[in-house]
Amino acid sequence: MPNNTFDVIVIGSGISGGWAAKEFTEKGLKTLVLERGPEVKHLRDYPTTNKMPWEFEHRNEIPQEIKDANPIISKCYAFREDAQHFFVKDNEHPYVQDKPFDWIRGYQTGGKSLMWARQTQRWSEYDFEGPARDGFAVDWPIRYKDLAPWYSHVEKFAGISGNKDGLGVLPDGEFLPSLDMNCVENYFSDFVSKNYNGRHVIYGRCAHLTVPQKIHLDQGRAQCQKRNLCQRGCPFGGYFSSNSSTLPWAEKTGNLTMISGAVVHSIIYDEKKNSATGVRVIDANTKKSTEYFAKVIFLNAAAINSNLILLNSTSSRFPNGLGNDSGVLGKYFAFHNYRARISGKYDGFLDKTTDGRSHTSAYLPRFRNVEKQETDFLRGYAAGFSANRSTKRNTDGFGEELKSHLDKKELGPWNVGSHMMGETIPKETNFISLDMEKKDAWDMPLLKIKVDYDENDDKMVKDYHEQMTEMFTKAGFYDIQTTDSHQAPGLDIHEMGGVRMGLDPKTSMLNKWNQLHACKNVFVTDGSSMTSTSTQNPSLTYMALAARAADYAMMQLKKGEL
Amino acid sequence: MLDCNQFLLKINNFKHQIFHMNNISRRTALKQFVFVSAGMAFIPSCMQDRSKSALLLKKISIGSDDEAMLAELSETIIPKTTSPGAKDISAHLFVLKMVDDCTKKEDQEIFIKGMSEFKAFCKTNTGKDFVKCNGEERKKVLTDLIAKKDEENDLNAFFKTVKRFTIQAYTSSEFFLTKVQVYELVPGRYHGCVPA
Repeated sequence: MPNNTFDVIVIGSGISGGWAAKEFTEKGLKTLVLERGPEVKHLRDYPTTNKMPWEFEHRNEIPQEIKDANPIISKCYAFREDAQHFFVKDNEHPYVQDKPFDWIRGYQTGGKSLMWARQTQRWSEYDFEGPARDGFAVDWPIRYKDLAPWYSHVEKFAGISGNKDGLGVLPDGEFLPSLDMNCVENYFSDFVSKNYNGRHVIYGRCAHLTVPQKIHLDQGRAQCQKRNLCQRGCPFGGYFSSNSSTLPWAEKTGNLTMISGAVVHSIIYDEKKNSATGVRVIDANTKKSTEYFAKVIFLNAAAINSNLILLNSTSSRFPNGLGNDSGVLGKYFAFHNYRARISGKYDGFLDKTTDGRSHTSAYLPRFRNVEKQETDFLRGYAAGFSANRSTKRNTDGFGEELKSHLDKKELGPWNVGSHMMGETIPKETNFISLDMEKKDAWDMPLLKIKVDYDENDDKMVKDYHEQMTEMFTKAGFYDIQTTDSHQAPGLDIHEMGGVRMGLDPKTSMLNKWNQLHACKNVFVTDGSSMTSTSTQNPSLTYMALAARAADYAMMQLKKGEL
Repeated sequence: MLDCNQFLLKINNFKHQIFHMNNISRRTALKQFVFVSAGMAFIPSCMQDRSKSALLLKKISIGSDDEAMLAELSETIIPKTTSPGAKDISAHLFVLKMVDDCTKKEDQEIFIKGMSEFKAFCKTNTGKDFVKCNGEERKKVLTDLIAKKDEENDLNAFFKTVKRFTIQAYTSSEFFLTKVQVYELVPGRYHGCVPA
C-alpha cells in the first residue's frame, strides 16, 4: 500500500504535533499528520470570530441544558458560547474517574492550541534539576542548556512577546516587544522587588505578534490587534496556534498529508524488526480500520491520549503497552495546582485607567525553595497577577432615571487578583490506566484516571494564601479575600507525565531525545513526556522538545539508525 | 438600518429557507430567526406587532398575553426616550429566551409563579391588567413593588429576573454598543496607563 506509507507519522496536530510536522516537512520528509477531530482550517473555520456581543443568542452564556449534560467541560473558563464548538463535550468521549478529574479536550486540527491561554514562560535550570535535588520522581535526562537553543528556535518562529527580565528562575528568550503593564501592576512590581529579596513581578511572556517579523508575515500572520477573543480563532493570526502557523507552513512544503477524523487505535510493533512499523487508525465516523506506515512515529496526542495509545499498543513483546518494560507507563502522572486565588482592591491611581485590551497579565515567578529547601513543602508556585479598573453601573430603580444611569459607566477602585500555579510532585499512586471492560465508540478501552492532590499541595495553597495576603496587605490593597476552589485536577489543563523521560530504562519510558528506550523509532514529545511539572505553563517546553526530537530523529535517519 | 420593505423581504427569504429544511435545522433556524429580529436594534415599526409570539420556548410556557405584559413591563423598566427603549430592542423576548434556556428548572418555576403574582399584584393595586394601565399607573406598580424589594418571594424574584435580563438586553444591544458605550471588536491597541 504505497499510498499509506510515509517517512514520518505524527499523531496529533496540536501544539507539539504541529511543530514536529513543521520540522520534518521543512527538511523534505513526507509527513502524515493524524488528527482525531474534524478539520479546522485557519480563517475558514472560525465561525464566531467576527461576531459582536449582541450576535450571541445568549450573550456568550452557555445554556443550562448544555451545562447539565456537560458538567465537566462546563467548568472550563473558556467554554462559552463563542468557543464551545472547539471543546469536547462530556459524552463525546467518556472516561472513568476513579477520582474526580476534569479532562478538558479539544479534538480538532490544532487541538487546544486554538483556545490556549498563550502564556509561554521558559522552564529554568531550577526546574530541570528539581527532581534530582529534591529526591522525587527521577532525574531529568536533560538540563536547561540542552533545551535553550530549541526554546530560541521555537520562540523566533511562533513569536513571543516579553521583556528581558534577567531572572534565573525564568530565563529570557527571543522576544518581540512586550506590552506595558498598567499603573497598578507596575506599582506592585516595584513594590515587590523593593521589599522582597528574590521576588519579582514581570509581564507574562505570551505567544502574540506585537511587532511581527518577516518570518511571521511569511506565515501569513499579522500583528495582534488586542481583540482578546483568541479562543474563537484569530482572523489576524495574531497569536500562535498550529492552525495559523506550523501546519500551514508544513502544508506549503508539499510534504504534508493531513487526515482528520483519524482516531489512532495503536502503534504497530514488528517484533522481527524490533521497531514500530506504523499506526492503526479507526475512522472517527465510519469506524473503518486503516493502517499507515512510516520509518518514524511521533506521538503527540496530548498527555492523556498519548498514554492511552501506548497502553493500547500491545504485542507479545510489549504485553503492557508499547515500550513499557519498566511498568511506569501511565504512572507518575501530575498536573498544576490551580486551586488558590486571592483578590483585593486598591485605591491608588484613581486618575488613571487602561485603554484597549491586553493579551497578557503580570506574572510572579517561583520564589519558594529556589536555591535551597526552606519551607515544609517541596518545590513552589508561580502566581499570575493582574489589576483592572473596576466599573460599576447604578441599576437602582427603573424608567428614565435607570436608563440615564445605565448610559454612564462609573470607574471604581482597581480590582487586583492573583491565581496560584503550583508544581505538583509526580507519584506512582497518581496514574492512568485502561478499563478493560468498557470501550469507547471506537472500540478503544476507556481510560481510568486516578489522580489526586496530596499534603504537599495543601501546604502550598496555605503558603500561597499567606504570602500573597502579606504582599497585598503591605502594598496597600484592601478587601483581600482568599479562596481555595478545591477544583479537581485536570481543570488546570496542564496534565503531564505517564510517559516520562529519564536516564534509566528501568524507571522511565523515554530517553533524553524523547525516544522510547525500548522502541527507538517512536518519539513522544507532548505533555506525557514530562518528568516533573515545574510551575511554568508547559506548552512552550513541549514545542521545544518536539523540535529538538525531530532534529535528532532526522539525524538518526540520515545515519541509517532508524 | 433597513427600511420596512427590505426587512420584510429579508424575513420572507428566511422563512422560505426555513420551510425547505428538515425538522432539526428548522428548529435551529427558527431560533436564529427570532434572534435576528430580537437582536435588531431598530425593528421597523411596521414589524413590531408581527414579531410577537414568534419565540419558540422549549421549557417554559408563556401565552401571548403574558408576552405582551412582559413587553410593557420591560418598557417601563427601560422606556423609549430620545433613544430606543426595551420594546425597540425586543428586550422581553431576550428575557424569555434567557429564562427558557439559561435558567435552572426551579428558577423557571419561580419565574412563572412570580409572574402570576405580579399580575395579581397589579390588579390589586390598580384594578387593571398591567397592559391596560397607563404610564403613571405602571410606574406606581413598580414603585410599590420596589418598596418591598428586600422581601424574598417569588414576586420579587420574577421582577428582579425581568429587570436583570432587560438591562442585559439593553446594555448588550447593538444600539447601546454602537452608540452609547462603543464596543470595539478590533481595538488594535493597549495602553496600560492613561488618564481616567
